[in-house]
Amino acid sequence: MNINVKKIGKNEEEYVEIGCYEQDGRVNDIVRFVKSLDGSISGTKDDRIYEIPVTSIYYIESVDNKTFIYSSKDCYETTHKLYEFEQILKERNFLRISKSVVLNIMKAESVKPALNGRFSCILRNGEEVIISRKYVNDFKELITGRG
Amino acid sequence: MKEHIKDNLMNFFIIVTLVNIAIFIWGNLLAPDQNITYMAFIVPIIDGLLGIIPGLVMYSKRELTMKQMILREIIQLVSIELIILFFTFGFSFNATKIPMMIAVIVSVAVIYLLVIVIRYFLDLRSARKMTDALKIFQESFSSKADPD
Repeated sequence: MNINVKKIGKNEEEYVEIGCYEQDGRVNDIVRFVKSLDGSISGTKDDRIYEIPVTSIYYIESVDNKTFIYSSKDCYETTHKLYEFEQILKERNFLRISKSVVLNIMKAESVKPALNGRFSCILRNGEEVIISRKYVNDFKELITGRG
Repeated sequence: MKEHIKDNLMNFFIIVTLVNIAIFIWGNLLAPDQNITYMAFIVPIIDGLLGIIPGLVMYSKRELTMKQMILREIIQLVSIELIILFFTFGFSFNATKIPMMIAVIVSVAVIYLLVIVIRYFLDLRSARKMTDALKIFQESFSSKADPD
């Protein structure tokens, strides 16, 4: 597959164009990746596909090999893997806080202790997610800027 | 694993301090005239080491649910009770030792609970610091954050 990057003038709108024989899963993956960088992620709910703005995502969770995106009130399923979100959204203040959760730090309201060295993060919508012991230091480093 | 060892090291020092206090209290209550040797200084350290063994052995890489965590805490407490009883009294059992055995069982349970409580308060302080840092972090990005 040839990859061409073309510089354009500041007055033009940036675009990504894909030349393909057919729009297969590979092409759809590229489209989803570009969309996520651009600020939205596709997710399905009740057999409908929605574009979820990254800024409205609270956290992303992996359960039984399925990945779910949680907004303030809704939950969407996605075909992406959790580690992909971890990489894609790293620059947008998302952080892995446990084996199964990637959290949007901007949606966290406060932190309180949970049992056994773990912490519980209370989100702006009142939900709670666990920061496991292994990831507490990463969380501290990100919010204190000592990363 | 690193965090687990750090946790257990902190537990060790808390246990050593609390065992010292327990020896002082029970000693005054049950045997106020007893003379003790320098060996008595090593007892809290050995108790501290014995107290963290079940925690080290029962380390799990899996992220446990709250139920599993509570169950593990109970199993750990029972294990520690048995280890400390064996260390203190060995296999020799006679009725005159019962008050002392009860004192040890109660002490271990109280110390176990106190370690959890002390760790909770240390974590509470950490959590408050994290919440403050979180607010500062979010404010620095507030222009990018969505109002939702």
